[in-house]
Amino acid sequence: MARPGSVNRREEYLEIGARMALEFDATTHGDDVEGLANVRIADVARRAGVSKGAPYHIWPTQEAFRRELVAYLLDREQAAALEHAVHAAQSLPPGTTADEALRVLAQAVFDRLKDDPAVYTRFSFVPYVADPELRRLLSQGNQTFTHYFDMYLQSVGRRVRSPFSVEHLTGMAEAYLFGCLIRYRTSPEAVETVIIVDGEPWSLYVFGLRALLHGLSEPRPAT
Amino acid sequence: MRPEATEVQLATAVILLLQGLLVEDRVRPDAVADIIAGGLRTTAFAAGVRALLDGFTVPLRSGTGPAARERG
Repeated sequence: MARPGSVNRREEYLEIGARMALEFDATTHGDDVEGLANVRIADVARRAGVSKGAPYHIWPTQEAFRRELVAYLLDREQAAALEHAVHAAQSLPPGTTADEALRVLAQAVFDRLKDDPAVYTRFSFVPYVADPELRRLLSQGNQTFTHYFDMYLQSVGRRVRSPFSVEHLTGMAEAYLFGCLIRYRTSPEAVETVIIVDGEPWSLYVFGLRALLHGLSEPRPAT
Repeated sequence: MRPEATEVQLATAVILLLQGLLVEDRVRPDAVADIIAGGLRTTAFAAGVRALLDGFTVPLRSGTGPAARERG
Protein backbone atom coordinates (compact mmCIF):
# COMPACT_ATOMS: atom_id res chain seq x y z
CA MET A 1 0.00 0.00 0.00
CA ALA A 2 1.31 3.44 -0.90
CA ARG A 3 2.51 5.56 1.98
CA PRO A 4 0.68 8.85 2.63
CA GLY A 5 1.98 11.49 0.27
CA SER A 6 3.86 9.00 -1.87
CA VAL A 7 1.75 9.84 -4.93
CA ASN A 8 2.68 13.50 -4.66
CA ARG A 9 6.29 12.57 -4.00
CA ARG A 10 6.33 10.30 -7.04
CA GLU A 11 4.97 13.15 -9.18
CA GLU A 12 7.47 15.58 -7.69
CA TYR A 13 10.46 13.30 -8.34
CA LEU A 14 9.27 12.61 -11.89
CA GLU A 15 8.80 16.32 -12.56
CA ILE A 16 12.30 17.04 -11.28
CA GLY A 17 13.67 14.21 -13.41
CA ALA A 18 11.80 15.56 -16.43
CA ARG A 19 13.24 19.04 -15.89
CA MET A 20 16.73 17.56 -15.57
CA ALA A 21 16.27 15.57 -18.77
CA LEU A 22 15.00 18.64 -20.60
CA GLU A 23 17.96 20.69 -19.41
CA PHE A 24 20.04 18.61 -21.80
CA ASP A 25 18.58 20.57 -24.67
CA ALA A 26 20.01 19.27 -27.92
CA THR A 27 20.92 22.78 -29.00
CA THR A 28 23.36 23.17 -26.12
CA HIS A 29 24.27 19.57 -25.29
CA GLY A 30 24.15 18.03 -28.72
CA ASP A 31 26.78 15.43 -27.91
CA ASP A 32 25.61 14.63 -24.42
CA VAL A 33 23.14 11.93 -25.28
CA GLU A 34 24.29 9.66 -22.50
CA GLY A 35 23.86 12.39 -19.94
CA LEU A 36 20.36 12.97 -21.24
CA ALA A 37 19.37 9.35 -20.79
CA ASN A 38 21.07 8.99 -17.44
CA VAL A 39 19.28 11.29 -15.09
CA ARG A 40 20.54 10.01 -11.73
CA ILE A 41 18.13 9.34 -8.95
CA ALA A 42 20.65 10.72 -6.44
CA ASP A 43 20.60 14.08 -8.25
CA VAL A 44 16.81 14.05 -8.26
CA ALA A 45 16.86 13.47 -4.49
CA ARG A 46 19.33 16.31 -3.99
CA ARG A 47 17.17 18.73 -5.96
CA ALA A 48 14.10 17.59 -4.04
CA GLY A 49 15.93 18.27 -0.78
CA VAL A 50 15.52 14.71 0.50
CA SER A 51 17.99 12.02 1.43
CA LYS A 52 19.69 10.10 -1.35
CA GLY A 53 17.77 6.97 -0.50
CA ALA A 54 14.31 8.54 -0.23
CA PRO A 55 13.25 7.95 -3.88
CA TYR A 56 14.17 4.28 -3.44
CA HIS A 57 11.08 3.95 -1.24
CA ILE A 58 9.15 4.38 -4.50
CA TRP A 59 11.45 2.81 -7.10
CA PRO A 60 13.58 -0.18 -6.15
CA THR A 61 16.29 0.69 -8.67
CA GLN A 62 17.55 3.60 -10.71
CA GLU A 63 16.52 1.75 -13.86
CA ALA A 64 12.92 1.48 -12.61
CA PHE A 65 12.89 5.23 -12.04
CA ARG A 66 14.27 5.94 -15.53
CA ARG A 67 11.67 3.72 -17.16
CA GLU A 68 8.85 5.55 -15.43
CA LEU A 69 10.50 8.86 -16.31
CA VAL A 70 10.43 7.90 -20.00
CA ALA A 71 6.73 7.04 -19.75
CA TYR A 72 6.11 10.36 -17.95
CA LEU A 73 7.92 12.35 -20.66
CA LEU A 74 6.17 10.52 -23.51
CA ASP A 75 2.77 11.09 -21.90
CA ARG A 76 3.53 14.80 -21.62
CA GLU A 77 4.66 14.97 -25.23
CA GLN A 78 1.55 13.26 -26.57
CA ALA A 79 -0.80 15.20 -24.33
CA ALA A 80 0.76 18.49 -25.46
CA ALA A 81 0.42 17.59 -29.15
CA LEU A 82 -3.15 16.42 -28.72
CA GLU A 83 -4.16 19.48 -26.73
CA HIS A 84 -2.74 21.71 -29.44
CA ALA A 85 -4.57 19.79 -32.16
CA VAL A 86 -7.87 20.01 -30.30
CA HIS A 87 -7.39 23.75 -29.80
CA ALA A 88 -6.64 24.20 -33.52
CA ALA A 89 -9.67 22.09 -34.45
CA GLN A 90 -11.93 24.31 -32.36
CA SER A 91 -10.72 27.36 -34.28
CA LEU A 92 -11.68 25.93 -37.68
CA PRO A 93 -14.62 27.75 -39.24
CA PRO A 94 -17.74 25.78 -40.25
CA GLY A 95 -17.51 24.34 -43.74
CA THR A 96 -13.76 23.74 -43.57
CA THR A 97 -12.77 21.04 -46.06
CA ALA A 98 -11.01 17.87 -44.90
CA ASP A 99 -7.81 18.87 -46.69
CA GLU A 100 -7.86 22.32 -45.13
CA ALA A 101 -8.45 20.76 -41.71
CA LEU A 102 -5.53 18.39 -42.28
CA ARG A 103 -3.30 21.30 -43.29
CA VAL A 104 -4.18 23.39 -40.26
CA LEU A 105 -4.25 20.60 -37.65
CA ALA A 106 -1.11 18.77 -38.78
CA GLN A 107 0.78 22.07 -38.96
CA ALA A 108 -0.45 22.97 -35.47
CA VAL A 109 0.86 19.69 -34.10
CA PHE A 110 4.21 20.15 -35.84
CA ASP A 111 4.52 23.73 -34.61
CA ARG A 112 3.79 22.59 -31.07
CA LEU A 113 6.38 19.82 -31.16
CA LYS A 114 9.20 21.38 -33.17
CA ASP A 115 10.60 23.51 -30.35
CA ASP A 116 9.69 21.22 -27.46
CA PRO A 117 12.83 19.70 -25.92
CA ALA A 118 10.67 16.90 -24.47
CA VAL A 119 10.20 15.61 -28.01
CA TYR A 120 13.93 15.35 -28.57
CA THR A 121 14.34 13.56 -25.28
CA ARG A 122 12.43 10.67 -26.88
CA PHE A 123 15.13 10.26 -29.51
CA SER A 124 17.89 10.25 -26.91
CA PHE A 125 16.44 7.06 -25.45
CA VAL A 126 16.44 5.17 -28.76
CA PRO A 127 20.01 3.81 -28.29
CA TYR A 128 18.77 2.03 -25.16
CA VAL A 129 15.99 -0.03 -26.73
CA ALA A 130 17.73 -3.26 -25.77
CA ASP A 131 15.82 -2.70 -22.53
CA PRO A 132 12.48 -4.43 -23.27
CA GLU A 133 10.44 -2.10 -21.07
CA LEU A 134 12.01 0.97 -22.68
CA ARG A 135 11.31 -0.49 -26.11
CA ARG A 136 7.69 -1.11 -25.14
CA LEU A 137 7.26 2.48 -23.98
CA LEU A 138 8.86 3.99 -27.08
CA SER A 139 6.98 1.72 -29.47
CA GLN A 140 3.54 2.67 -28.24
CA GLY A 141 1.90 4.41 -31.13
CA ASN A 142 -0.47 7.26 -30.71
CA GLN A 143 -3.91 5.72 -31.03
CA THR A 144 -5.53 9.14 -31.03
CA PHE A 145 -3.77 10.13 -34.22
CA THR A 146 -4.69 6.78 -35.76
CA HIS A 147 -8.30 7.78 -35.15
CA TYR A 148 -7.77 11.22 -36.74
CA PHE A 149 -6.12 9.73 -39.83
CA ASP A 150 -9.00 7.30 -40.18
CA MET A 151 -11.48 10.17 -39.88
CA TYR A 152 -9.58 12.16 -42.50
CA LEU A 153 -9.63 9.29 -44.98
CA GLN A 154 -13.34 8.77 -44.42
CA SER A 155 -14.08 12.46 -44.92
CA VAL A 156 -12.24 12.53 -48.26
CA GLY A 157 -13.92 9.28 -49.37
CA ARG A 158 -10.86 7.05 -49.08
CA ARG A 159 -9.84 3.88 -47.25
CA VAL A 160 -6.51 2.21 -46.52
CA ARG A 161 -5.56 0.04 -49.48
CA SER A 162 -4.31 -3.54 -49.40
CA PRO A 163 -1.77 -4.76 -48.33
CA PHE A 164 -1.51 -1.91 -45.84
CA SER A 165 -3.28 -1.39 -42.55
CA VAL A 166 -4.16 1.75 -40.68
CA GLU A 167 -1.30 0.84 -38.33
CA HIS A 168 1.12 0.91 -41.29
CA LEU A 169 -0.24 4.29 -42.26
CA THR A 170 0.02 5.69 -38.74
CA GLY A 171 3.53 4.29 -38.29
CA MET A 172 4.69 5.84 -41.53
CA ALA A 173 3.11 9.18 -40.71
CA GLU A 174 4.79 9.10 -37.31
CA ALA A 175 8.15 8.19 -38.86
CA TYR A 176 7.83 11.09 -41.29
CA LEU A 177 6.98 13.42 -38.41
CA PHE A 178 10.06 12.20 -36.51
CA GLY A 179 12.23 12.73 -39.58
CA CYS A 180 10.90 16.28 -40.00
CA LEU A 181 11.39 17.08 -36.31
CA ILE A 182 14.97 15.77 -36.31
CA ARG A 183 15.83 17.72 -39.45
CA TYR A 184 14.12 20.84 -38.10
CA ARG A 185 16.71 21.02 -35.32
CA THR A 186 19.56 21.29 -37.79
CA SER A 187 17.96 22.76 -40.91
CA PRO A 188 14.62 24.39 -40.09
CA GLU A 189 14.54 26.06 -43.51
CA ALA A 190 14.50 22.63 -45.21
CA VAL A 191 11.35 21.58 -43.37
CA GLU A 192 9.59 24.93 -43.37
CA THR A 193 9.86 25.42 -47.12
CA VAL A 194 6.42 26.35 -48.40
CA ILE A 195 4.47 24.79 -51.24
CA ILE A 196 1.58 26.94 -52.43
CA VAL A 197 -1.47 24.86 -53.38
CA ASP A 198 -4.56 26.72 -54.54
CA GLY A 199 -3.27 29.85 -52.85
CA GLU A 200 -2.74 28.14 -49.49
CA PRO A 201 0.72 27.56 -47.96
CA TRP A 202 1.56 23.91 -47.23
CA SER A 203 4.76 23.16 -45.36
CA LEU A 204 6.90 20.28 -46.59
CA TYR A 205 5.78 18.30 -43.53
CA VAL A 206 2.05 18.64 -44.18
CA PHE A 207 2.37 18.30 -47.95
CA GLY A 208 4.37 15.09 -47.50
CA LEU A 209 1.97 13.80 -44.86
CA ARG A 210 -0.94 14.26 -47.23
CA ALA A 211 1.00 12.40 -49.95
CA LEU A 212 1.60 9.49 -47.57
CA LEU A 213 -2.05 9.37 -46.48
CA HIS A 214 -3.19 9.32 -50.10
CA GLY A 215 -0.47 6.94 -51.28
CA LEU A 216 -1.44 4.25 -48.82
CA SER A 217 -5.14 4.65 -49.43
CA GLU A 218 -7.61 4.39 -52.29
CA PRO A 219 -11.05 5.81 -53.06
CA ARG A 220 -13.90 4.04 -51.33
CA PRO A 221 -16.06 2.13 -53.79
CA ALA A 222 -19.40 3.76 -54.48
CA THR A 223 -22.21 2.15 -52.50
CA MET B 1 6.71 17.46 -60.90
CA ARG B 2 3.61 19.24 -59.75
CA PRO B 3 4.10 22.85 -60.80
CA GLU B 4 4.00 24.07 -57.20
CA ALA B 5 6.62 21.58 -55.90
CA THR B 6 10.29 21.10 -56.70
CA GLU B 7 12.63 18.14 -57.06
CA VAL B 8 14.61 19.38 -54.07
CA GLN B 9 11.47 19.35 -51.92
CA LEU B 10 10.63 15.82 -53.04
CA ALA B 11 14.17 14.61 -52.36
CA THR B 12 14.11 16.27 -48.94
CA ALA B 13 10.79 14.62 -48.08
CA VAL B 14 12.19 11.20 -49.02
CA ILE B 15 15.24 11.76 -46.81
CA LEU B 16 13.03 12.93 -43.92
CA LEU B 17 10.94 9.77 -44.24
CA LEU B 18 14.08 7.66 -44.34
CA GLN B 19 15.45 9.33 -41.21
CA GLY B 20 12.21 8.75 -39.35
CA LEU B 21 11.95 5.14 -40.47
CA LEU B 22 15.51 4.49 -39.29
CA VAL B 23 14.43 5.62 -35.82
CA GLU B 24 11.32 3.46 -36.08
CA ASP B 25 13.43 0.50 -37.17
CA ARG B 26 15.29 0.62 -33.86
CA VAL B 27 12.13 0.80 -31.81
CA ARG B 28 9.51 -1.01 -33.89
CA PRO B 29 11.28 -3.14 -36.49
CA ASP B 30 8.01 -4.93 -37.24
CA ALA B 31 6.55 -1.61 -38.45
CA VAL B 32 9.15 -1.25 -41.19
CA ALA B 33 9.52 -4.95 -42.06
CA ASP B 34 8.54 -6.37 -45.40
CA ILE B 35 4.85 -6.15 -46.12
CA ILE B 36 3.68 -9.09 -48.17
CA ALA B 37 0.13 -9.61 -49.33
CA GLY B 38 -1.44 -10.92 -52.49
CA GLY B 39 1.95 -11.81 -53.91
CA LEU B 40 3.19 -8.26 -53.50
CA ARG B 41 6.28 -7.61 -51.44
CA THR B 42 7.22 -4.14 -50.32
CA THR B 43 8.62 -2.27 -47.35
CA ALA B 44 7.34 0.75 -45.48
CA PHE B 45 10.15 2.80 -47.00
CA ALA B 46 9.46 1.68 -50.55
CA ALA B 47 5.74 2.28 -50.12
CA GLY B 48 6.42 5.68 -48.58
CA VAL B 49 8.76 6.73 -51.38
CA ARG B 50 6.16 5.67 -53.93
CA ALA B 51 3.51 7.68 -52.09
CA LEU B 52 5.73 10.77 -51.99
CA LEU B 53 6.59 10.42 -55.67
CA ASP B 54 2.89 10.25 -56.54
CA GLY B 55 2.08 13.17 -54.23
CA PHE B 56 4.75 15.49 -55.60
CA THR B 57 4.27 14.70 -59.26
CA VAL B 58 1.59 14.63 -61.93
CA PRO B 59 1.49 12.01 -64.66
CA LEU B 60 2.78 12.96 -68.08
CA ARG B 61 0.84 10.13 -69.66
CA SER B 62 -1.26 7.23 -68.50
CA GLY B 63 0.64 4.98 -66.12
CA THR B 64 0.05 1.94 -63.98
CA GLY B 65 0.55 3.33 -60.47
CA PRO B 66 -2.08 4.13 -57.84
CA ALA B 67 -2.75 7.57 -59.29
CA ALA B 68 -3.35 6.10 -62.73
CA ARG B 69 -5.62 3.41 -61.31
CA GLU B 70 -7.64 6.10 -59.55
CA ARG B 71 -8.01 8.01 -62.78
CA GLY B 72 -9.26 4.81 -64.37
